Amino acid sequence: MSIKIIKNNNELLNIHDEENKKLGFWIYLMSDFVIFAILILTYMILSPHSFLFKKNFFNLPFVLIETIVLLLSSFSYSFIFNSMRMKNIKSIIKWMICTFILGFIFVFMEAYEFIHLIKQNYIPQKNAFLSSFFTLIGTHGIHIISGLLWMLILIFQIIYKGLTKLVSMRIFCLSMFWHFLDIIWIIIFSVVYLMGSL
Amino acid sequence: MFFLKKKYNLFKSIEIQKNFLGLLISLVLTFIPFYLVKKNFFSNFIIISIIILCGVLQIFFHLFIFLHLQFNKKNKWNIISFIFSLIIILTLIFFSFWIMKNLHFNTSILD
Repeated sequence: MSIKIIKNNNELLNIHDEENKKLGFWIYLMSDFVIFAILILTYMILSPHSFLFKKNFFNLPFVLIETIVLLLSSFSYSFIFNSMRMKNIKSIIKWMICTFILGFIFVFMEAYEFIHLIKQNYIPQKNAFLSSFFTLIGTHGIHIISGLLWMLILIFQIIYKGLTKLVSMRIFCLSMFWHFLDIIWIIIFSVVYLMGSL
Repeated sequence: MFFLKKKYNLFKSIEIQKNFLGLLISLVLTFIPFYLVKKNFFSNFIIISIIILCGVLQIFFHLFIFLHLQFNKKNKWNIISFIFSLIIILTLIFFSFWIMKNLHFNTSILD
């Protein structure tokens, strides 16, 4: 009897702990939001230096495809919650791999864009505008890559550990991270690419 | 048991509908500014304000549909921290632009 009560108590504590962890992760995301805001602000203040370049510095349709890929990856991640409620591990892994592939395509396209710019001798050392641009897009890319790594680790954890409480909380935190990166990309797309090619 | 299952399925389909709605809204709100920038119908000022409007709308739809941020008591601290970071960001943006516009010494060429 007493053991049972302690166990229940523990579970109660765990639930409380989970909520705290989610809140903590949310606060981390908000501080990340401030970092990205500062980087975007730096870019906006330095962007008038871009008059040195020709007007179509950005390949806008290419970036539009990038955006759509990221939106689709966010959309495919949101299916994981349904599978989690059904406790269907196969479907969770399926959707996670789908999200991973879409995120990987996004990173690949971003890297291609960087290489394309560097080939044209638009390197970050050239001026303040370019270095702020590379810093902003590079920071977002690093966040996406770390999200992809997290996803890979989670896939293995789901396979080996099953859908425990801890693992499902990690899936929830990754979902927050992924959607948050999507929001950041929406801001970057509007501010950097759309306003930059006006 | 049967009723429970039925209710559960209904809930699931609503969730999926919500996700589809979120995708549709974000795609539309991405395409509108892209099309306007490509075609260049209006003056720059109008296009920039439409871009900002679409971006803000998209962010809020994302927050509510994908990040499940609802205005209720359970999410009190989430919303407070979100508003706090928004205040910080808006202060940063406003005062940096203010300073850079007034300095006007090689740092910024804002007109």
